[in-house]
This record gives sequence, C-alpha cells and structure tokens, in this order.
Amino acid sequence: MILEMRNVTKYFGKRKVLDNVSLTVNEGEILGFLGPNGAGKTTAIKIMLGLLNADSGEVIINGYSVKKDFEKALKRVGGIIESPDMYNYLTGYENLMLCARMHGLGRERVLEVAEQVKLAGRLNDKVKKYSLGMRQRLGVAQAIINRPNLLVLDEPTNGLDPVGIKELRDMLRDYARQGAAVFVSSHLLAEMELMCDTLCIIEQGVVIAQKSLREFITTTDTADRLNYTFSVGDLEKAVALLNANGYEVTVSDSLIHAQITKEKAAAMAKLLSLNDVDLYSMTAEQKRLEDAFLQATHGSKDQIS
Amino acid sequence: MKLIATLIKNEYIKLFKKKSVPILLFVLLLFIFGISLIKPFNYGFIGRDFYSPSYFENEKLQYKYNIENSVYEYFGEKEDISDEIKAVIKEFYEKQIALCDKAIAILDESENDWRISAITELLNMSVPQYLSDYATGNGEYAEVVNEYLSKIGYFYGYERYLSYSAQFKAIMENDYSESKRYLYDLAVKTSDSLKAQLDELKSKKENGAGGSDIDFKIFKVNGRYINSERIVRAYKAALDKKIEYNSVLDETLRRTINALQSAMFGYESILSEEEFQKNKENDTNNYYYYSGYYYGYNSNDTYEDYLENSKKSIENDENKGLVGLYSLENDVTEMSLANSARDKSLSFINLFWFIAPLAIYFASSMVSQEFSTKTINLLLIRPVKRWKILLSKYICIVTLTLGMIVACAAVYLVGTGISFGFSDFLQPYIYIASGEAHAASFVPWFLWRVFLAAVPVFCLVNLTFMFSTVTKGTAVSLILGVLSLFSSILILFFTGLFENPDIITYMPFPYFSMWSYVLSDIIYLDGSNGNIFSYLINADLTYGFILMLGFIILSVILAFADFTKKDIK
Repeated sequence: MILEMRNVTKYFGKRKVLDNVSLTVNEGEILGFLGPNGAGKTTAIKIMLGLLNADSGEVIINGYSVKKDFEKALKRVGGIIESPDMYNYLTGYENLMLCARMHGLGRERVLEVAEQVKLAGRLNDKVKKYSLGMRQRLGVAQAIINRPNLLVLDEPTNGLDPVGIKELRDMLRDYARQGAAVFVSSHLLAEMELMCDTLCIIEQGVVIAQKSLREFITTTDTADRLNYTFSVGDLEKAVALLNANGYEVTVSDSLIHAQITKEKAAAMAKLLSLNDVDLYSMTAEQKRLEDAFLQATHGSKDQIS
Repeated sequence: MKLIATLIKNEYIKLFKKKSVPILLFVLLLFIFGISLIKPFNYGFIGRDFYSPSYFENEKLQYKYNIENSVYEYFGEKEDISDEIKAVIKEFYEKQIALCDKAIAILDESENDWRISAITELLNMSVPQYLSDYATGNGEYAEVVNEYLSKIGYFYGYERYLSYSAQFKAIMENDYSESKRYLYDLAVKTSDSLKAQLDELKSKKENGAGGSDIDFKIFKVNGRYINSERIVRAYKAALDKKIEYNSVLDETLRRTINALQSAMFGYESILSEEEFQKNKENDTNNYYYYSGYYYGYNSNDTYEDYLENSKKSIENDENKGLVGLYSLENDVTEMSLANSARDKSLSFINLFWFIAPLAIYFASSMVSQEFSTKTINLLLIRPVKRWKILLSKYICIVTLTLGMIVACAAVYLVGTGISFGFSDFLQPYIYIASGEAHAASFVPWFLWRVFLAAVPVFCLVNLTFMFSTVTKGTAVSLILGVLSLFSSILILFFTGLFENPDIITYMPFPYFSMWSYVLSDIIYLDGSNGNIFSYLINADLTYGFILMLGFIILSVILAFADFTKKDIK
C-alpha cells in the first residue's frame, strides 16, 4: 500500500467538506477519484499532500505520516493540483530546473522528463507562450521529475487533445506497470473508464464506493445474478429445453433472456450444447459507467460529462 | 544547509528573471550614480565690495592736492605745526598715494583681491589716527608727535589696534596672512583683559566680597575668556599656516571666529535670574534675538527654560568654533566649507527615500505572488518543510535589500570620489565630545551612519514581507509597506498637535525614516545640517534602533507562524 487516507475529516468554517474519508492506493494501481464539482476532490488531494491540515484522521504515504513526517512522506510523491500553474515569465526549462533543484536533481533529469512528455523542442520558450496542452504536459513533467512512486494528478487531462490524452494514459499505464501508484481525480467519466483500474466515488465529502472498474460496470443484483442474453439457432427447442430443466427465461427479439448467476449461465450453455442447440452468442449485460456513477451518486446528469 | 542554499538560489532566479527587477535595480543605481556626480553650485565665500579705479584716482588727487597746498591743519583751529610733524604728515599722504596706485594696479588685474578692501580701510584713516599709530610705533619723531597730539588734545581712550605700518607692509608685500596679525594682537589683548577680570572676580569670591551673584558673573566671564582664548588660537594657527585669501582655511578662520565671537556674546548677554524677572515685567517685547539664534525667552518660559535654551545656543556656537579650531590647528579641511567628497557623500543618506520604496516593492510580492499565480501549490508539495521555503524567501529579500544598499552606497561613493576627489575621504570627521573636538576616520564613521540609516529599511522590508505572507495580497502589502514608510512624515502634521513635541520622539512612526536623523549631530561650520525632520524632533537613535529591531522580530514571528500553520486554500 502506497497511499492510505484514514478517516479524514475536514471543515471549512462550519461546513464539513470531507466526512470520514478513507481510501487506499496500491503499487501498480491507477485509482480514479471521481466526483461531481464541489464534492471535495481537491480538498482531499490538498490534505493528502499536506497543503491543508485535516481536522481528524491521517494520511500515510509510503509508511510515513504526512503530518508528522512531511519530508519523508512526500519524498517520492509527484503531483498536480487544480491546474499546473508554473511561473509564466520563465521558460519551461527554468521551471523544471526550479523543481529539479529542490530534489537535488539537475539538467540531465530535466531533459529526460522533457523528452518523456514531448516538450523537448519547446523547452526554451517562455511558459506564457505555451498552449494549455503544453502547460499540462509541463505540469506532468514537474510531477514526475523526482521519479515518484505516487503520482497525484488533479484533472490532468484538462486542455489535452485526444492524442495528448492517449499519450498521458499510456504514460500513466507505463508508470503503474513499473510499480507506481497513480491517483487521478476527474469528473470525466469516459477517461476514467479508459484509464483507471479502480474507482473511488466521492460525493458531498463522503466516499460512496471504492471498487475496481469491472465491479462498477457489471450489473449484478443482490443475489449476484446478471442479465444474460443468448442467441440460439432453434429458439423454440431451446426455450422448451430450458423450461423443462427449471430455468426461468423470457424471449424477446428472438433472443433468450435470463437473470441468473454466472455458474447457472455456464450450466445453461452446457445444457444447450449437449442437446444440439446451436449457441451463437452468450453475453452478460454491462452498465455504462455513467449509469453506474449516477446510480451511485444519485446525482444529476448535469454534474458530470 | 545545502537545501536552504538551493532554495535561496531558486528564489533569486524567480526574482531576477522578472524583467522589472533588474531594470528597476539598474535604474536605481544609474540614478544614484548620477546624483553622486552633481556638484553643488559654489557661491564663493565672501561677498565682494566693488570699487572702481576712479574712486582711488579721486582719493589720489585729494592727497596730491594736500601735499601741493600744504594742507596740514586739522581740528578747526590753525596750529603751529613743526617741520617734523609736517614731514610725518607728508609721509602719510605719500603712503596714501602709493596705496591708491597699488589699488589701481590691482584692479587692473582683478576685482576680487583682499588688498582692495584693506587699502580702503587704510585710506579711511585720518591724520591724527595715523599720528597716534606712528607714535606708538616708535617712529623717528615719535616724541615730537606725541607732544603734538597731546597739544591738540587727541587721545583715544584705547590703544589703536590697527598698525598702519604693519598693514601697509602686508598690502605692499601681498601678504594676506600677515594682514591678520593686528586681529591676533587684539584677540590676545581681549583675552588677557578677560583673564584679569576673571582673576579679579575669583579673588573677590575668595574674599567673600562678590555678592550673591558672584558665581553667575564668574560663569559669564569665564565663558567669554575660554572662547577668547580659542580665538587667539585660531588666529595663531592661521598666521602660522600663512593662510591665503579666499582659501578654505581663510573661510574656516572667518566662520570659526564668527562662531566663537557669537558664543562670547551669548555669555555676555545671558541674564541672571534677577535681570530676567525684571525684564519679564518691563518688557513688552518678549523675544530677544541675536544673529539668528534664540537667546531670549517668551512669556511662558521659566528662568530655567531660558537658561537651558541660552546655554544650548551658546553650546551650538562653541561646538562650531571648536570644529573650526580643530580644522585650523590640525590641517583638516572642514568638510562643509570645501565642497568636499565627505560632505557630498553624507547626502547619500537622503537617497534612502528611493531605496526603501523599491525594497518594499520587492518584498511585497515575495510570498503573495506565489499565491496569486497558484504556484504555491507546486512549491509546497515538495519534500521540503514550509519553514525552510519561507526562510529561503526571507533570506533572499533580506540579502537583496542588503546588496541594494551596499551597491548604492558603493556607487555613490565612487561617483562622489570621481567628482570631488578620492583623497578627501582620507580626511577625518570632526566631532565634539564632552566639550572637546575629536577626529574619527571618515569612511568607517560614514558606514556606521549608513548602517543606522538602513535599519528602518530592513524593518520596512520585514513588515512588508510579513504583510505579504499574512494577507497573500501583493497590492495590499505594497500599500501597507509604503504607508508605513510615509507615516514617518506625519510628524510634519503632528508637531502642531502636541503641546510637548517630545511625545513624538517616542512614537514609532518617525523612525520609519530614521535616516532623517542619523546626521543631526554633525556640526557643520557653514551652519546647515540635518534636514527638516531633524529640526522637528529630537530623535533618539538608540530608541529607534531598538524599536525597529522589535518590529523586525515581531514580523518574523508572525510571518513564520502564519506560513507554517495555515491551510493553503
């Protein structure tokens, strides 16, 4: 476990912004921190990185408490908060050198990360001349400059074009593969879906769920049953056969539907095959993430995109 | 330690890569260098009398007529004048003619020559005066002349002080220094007579015959005697050095004598308590002025106030005299009279009015700008404790301020040296301590004053840095910093508000421009010192120093407490 937030609560004045938030990120895991605007995503990240003090609870990074052992805890952390604001009047190179020096690194590492985020050609331009996408990439570059094993990125795809988003995604995947943990906050569901292994949903300061992406989008009922759809050659024979064997199925659009567990689905397939019914396809219904999210947050669709 | 150094380096990069910072610093240095090169207009020392040659031509004609027409008669009645007397008087006329010729010749070359006024002085001498001078000078016919003078009843109650023959010789030999000798002789006489008076008063006191005010009388005479002795020393030094006309030494002598005579007059005119009360009852005019200095009293003053003020005025004159005397006796060029590099370099202190706002400007954005550009987020998620980040910023702005002051002072000294000559810096600074003149090496003394003057700049920088940290607003901190600086000129309004202006001395705001006061104890022989503020209050530099230090410590504590504890929202 690289990052652990334990029961973190935070008030802004009298308003409770975070309520007993706990979450974990492991090695090689990309966690998507998902929530509508104002849910407390940035607050949680700021507490994680020591910018805000939690009223209760604690944050442990790489085994060190952020509050008590700030320097050790943050030693292998890289991050972007809100937006990757850099010194506009400095060049990209100068900006990265400022960061590198704080980690005891030098010119070589700066050139290396610039290459990695594909900024090498524009490194000597002033940041104020950069496009939003380039600034975002520069933000990523400063975040990874110290070879962190925990990357905390707040809305990292803002301003990136589709190619940039893909590159970022690939890079994060790469990072995770090398054993780093990545924490990405976003309100962009589609990207989260493509990028993350695990999702943590936060709403009004409360973590509603932390599950793997697969778990989120798979529709199960309370008895672990899924909606299966079968496409078969001889519909009537199949229905008769299944009914005779005690399976409750319905038929619509020449397809057989059944709400069953995965074990039963396998048994059904076997039954059909043994009785010479051609089985063309068998699919379990999956929810779209959007629906899963809305279902989880009870939120309005306007808050996300 | 290495980390802090790296962080400071980062801060300097962030600061100097902003175009405005190097440009502003360059402009400041250029401005200061320019100011250092300006030479004040030299008005020249002595107001000149203008004489035309025709004046001397007319005088000459008069004396020629006297010789040709044997005009030897004076005092209304016709007298029998012996041949000896006639010969002496003729000699006088001839000498006067020679003086006229000399004056005409001198005017042909220059209008500004000391001899012209000296000649005029001798031309104004009458025959009896000349004869009297002749007699005391033991001329050939001194006895006959003495007889003649007593016959015509010409007696001066005092001895003639101006020796015609000595002054005539000095003029003819163009020996300016020697022309002062009669003044030296006169000073010696004055001093001797005051010594005699003093001794008499002292012996009266010993015998118990002096009356109740004997101590006050002794005080007055003693004061005059001490200063008359100083006058003697000043003339002696001038004669020994063979001072030249219109030289700095000459001007030093003139001002020294003026100051010492002013002090003597101060002692002479100071009133005893009895006289004071009497005057107070009778006098409708409550003010006594003497040569621009306040020696009197107003109706609200008690005698103690009056005495204190008078003594202060006298001391002021005495101190000037002592500085002048030290210069004369020790071959030091008095700095205020000579357009000296030393005098010019002192005006650097006033340039803190330009250095301080710039330092405040730099300090105002030091922390707050990180918040306004949101770069604070990226700065504070590095594995570096917050106090180290703030410390690096603090060291950056403090060392920048220090560097600015050092660079400005260096540039100013170099500029001053170029236009006034570097060698002047080797001359000392003269100061008065316990009634005596002392000399100190100028440069260390100057640097110490610059340091004192710089203390409020550091205080303002600290305050602004704290404002910048706590408010997180650049504009707000800039305004607060500049307001703190300019609060120091509030004394211009406050002095009228308080019956006792000493209260202002202990308010903090005057000390935000403490540089206004660090030169107020300098004694300038040319009469001008300090600036408008130092006349308004009697600033206590030690108090100011401690106060500024207090503000600095408080600012540092507040800034660090705020920055390390507060949430970064």
